[in-house]
Amino acid sequence: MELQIEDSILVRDYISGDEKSLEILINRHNQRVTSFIYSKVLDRDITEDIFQDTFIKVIKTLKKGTYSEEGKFLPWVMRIAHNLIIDHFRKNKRMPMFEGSDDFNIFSVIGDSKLNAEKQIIQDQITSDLRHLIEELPDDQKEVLIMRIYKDMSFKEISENTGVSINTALGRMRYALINLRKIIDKHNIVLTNQ
Amino acid sequence: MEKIYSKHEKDYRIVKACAETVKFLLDYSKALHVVKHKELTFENILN
Repeated sequence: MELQIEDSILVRDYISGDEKSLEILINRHNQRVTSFIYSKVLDRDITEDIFQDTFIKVIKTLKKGTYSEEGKFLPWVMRIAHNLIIDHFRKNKRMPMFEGSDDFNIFSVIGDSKLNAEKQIIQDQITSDLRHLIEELPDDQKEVLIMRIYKDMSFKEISENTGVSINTALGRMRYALINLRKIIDKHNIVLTNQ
Repeated sequence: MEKIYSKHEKDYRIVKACAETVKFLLDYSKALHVVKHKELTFENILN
């Protein structure tokens, strides 16, 4: 009972402008309010957030002069905390949160296959360089390589379109790749995106 | 035995909000000024 009276005096003093009273009130009820929140949410960071939001509401209400529960400060604070805990669970129900642990990281399962901006620029550069290199090949090899790689044609289709045998088309493709490697090695060109 | 020893012992441990949070609240309180004009209430955060 004595504690409640002290609280009410501190509240009155705080409303009158004594900031020190708030510090006493927060420190006095810190453990009870925090433990209450923690017992519901079981997360240290969320507990800190809800504790902070609770006292922000307390401060605003007191400063606005709309506090009317003289003598029942702690139950009032606990009720605010309780409502914020409910809000927290409602929000989480709409948007469930998954936190990984040291053993399991959710991002090892859910990945973004898109390249980031830097890697995309590198990829575009490689594609562009490769096209220039292909231009350096003899026409017959270039023709087969473009049909196979860029047009995704089979060697049977290539042989039909170019009027050569499948073996010749295969040979031209092989020489095209060998020659490309030679040009790349000769000019120390790096075509990787790691 | 199962009923005597709770599996969730850590759920009931006593915790306290950290000093930074308390300091933030005290600073917030000092910075917050409520101005009333007729039926309107204005909240100002003064640094």
